[in-house]
Amino acid sequence: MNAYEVENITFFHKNQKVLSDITVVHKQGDIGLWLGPSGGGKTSLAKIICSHLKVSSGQVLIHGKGVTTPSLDRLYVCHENDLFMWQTLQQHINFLLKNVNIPNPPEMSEINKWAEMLEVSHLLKKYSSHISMGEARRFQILRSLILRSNLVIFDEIFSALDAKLKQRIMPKLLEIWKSKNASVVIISHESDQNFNISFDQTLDFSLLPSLSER
Amino acid sequence: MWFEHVLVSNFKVLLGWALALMIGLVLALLRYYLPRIIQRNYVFNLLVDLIKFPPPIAWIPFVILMFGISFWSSILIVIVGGMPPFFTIIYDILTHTDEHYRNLTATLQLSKLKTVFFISLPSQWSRIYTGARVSLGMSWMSIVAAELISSQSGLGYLIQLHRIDLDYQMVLVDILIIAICGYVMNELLLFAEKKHLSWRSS
Repeated sequence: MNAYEVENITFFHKNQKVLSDITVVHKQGDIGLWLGPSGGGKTSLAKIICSHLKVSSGQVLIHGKGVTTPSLDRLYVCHENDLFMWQTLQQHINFLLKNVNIPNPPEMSEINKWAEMLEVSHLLKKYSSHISMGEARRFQILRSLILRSNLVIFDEIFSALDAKLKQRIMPKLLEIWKSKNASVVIISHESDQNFNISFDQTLDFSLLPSLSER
Repeated sequence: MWFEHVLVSNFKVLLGWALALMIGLVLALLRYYLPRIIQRNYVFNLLVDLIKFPPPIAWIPFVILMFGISFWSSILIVIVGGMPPFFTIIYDILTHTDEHYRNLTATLQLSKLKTVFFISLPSQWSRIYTGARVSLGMSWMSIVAAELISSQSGLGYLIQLHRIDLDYQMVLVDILIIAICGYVMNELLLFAEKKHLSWRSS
């Protein structure tokens, strides 16, 4: 079973070719790492997989089925602040539990356990505009766990965490992902390798044909 | 007598402004809910945009002809003046939700209605308040114009009375009262915004 298959994707951004005839396969349950220089198409490919961008040619298969519209089974976690600034983090969680059709939604006790692990439980009463960038990234990770998506793509989410903290939480996160057989992609720039876990798959975008063509 | 006119003008502004905000919101929502083909139709957009440009004063003779000189005529003028800026800003907010919010709500599969009321509008509270303030300014402009031309009460009417008496000092006083009333309302609105949006970082 494949978490996603990308078949012969070609993608243009404002008439410039970003991805050219890319084919990638990611097995369900694998933890992947995408590396490469900025402008290399990592974010574009992530958004294409989550159907936030339309491709010129090629297709995306999720569990063998072609997809064209976004859905909760695959989540793109962006490195810009997409938290709800007008709500406290606790209200944000409640909003998701109430309004989103999460399959088998987690209990509050389980969410609190994750919050503890990600070291955000003391922040839940705060507004997201009053927390730091690293704290916001950790809350985004918590949100990805709550939404129970099969495939989660973290775009530079871990780059904002300080090194010690990252080393502390990565193994615990890996344990959760593995226990749920979740598929994960972590997008990261070259200088940021300090993950303290091993990856099942590494994709280096600087080796893709799209770049050498330009 | 004098104070009555101040009260009447303030009441008319508040009522007309509140109606303008409500109608502006509803019209913006209706426009947003139209099928995409109509929303992008050149002729349709031309008609919607054209109708915003005549100033409220231009409507006064027409409104008098249609509805006579009455309380509701001046309210109608206030609505004509105060509604367009709020309508424009709300429609702009609805059609230009941030990309990362759009992506997230698409993934969460929130309905269009929930996206509008729980994400698009709250994410732009500051601009909504700005729109309301602009609309308030327009409301004051419209009410005074309406009262100058077609009313038997209010501060604009008072200016006319003083003008006929050649009492120019009192005309200036009337103008000053309008300025103070508008300023106080604006400050109250700013205060409400500050209290309401206490989560803003700056």
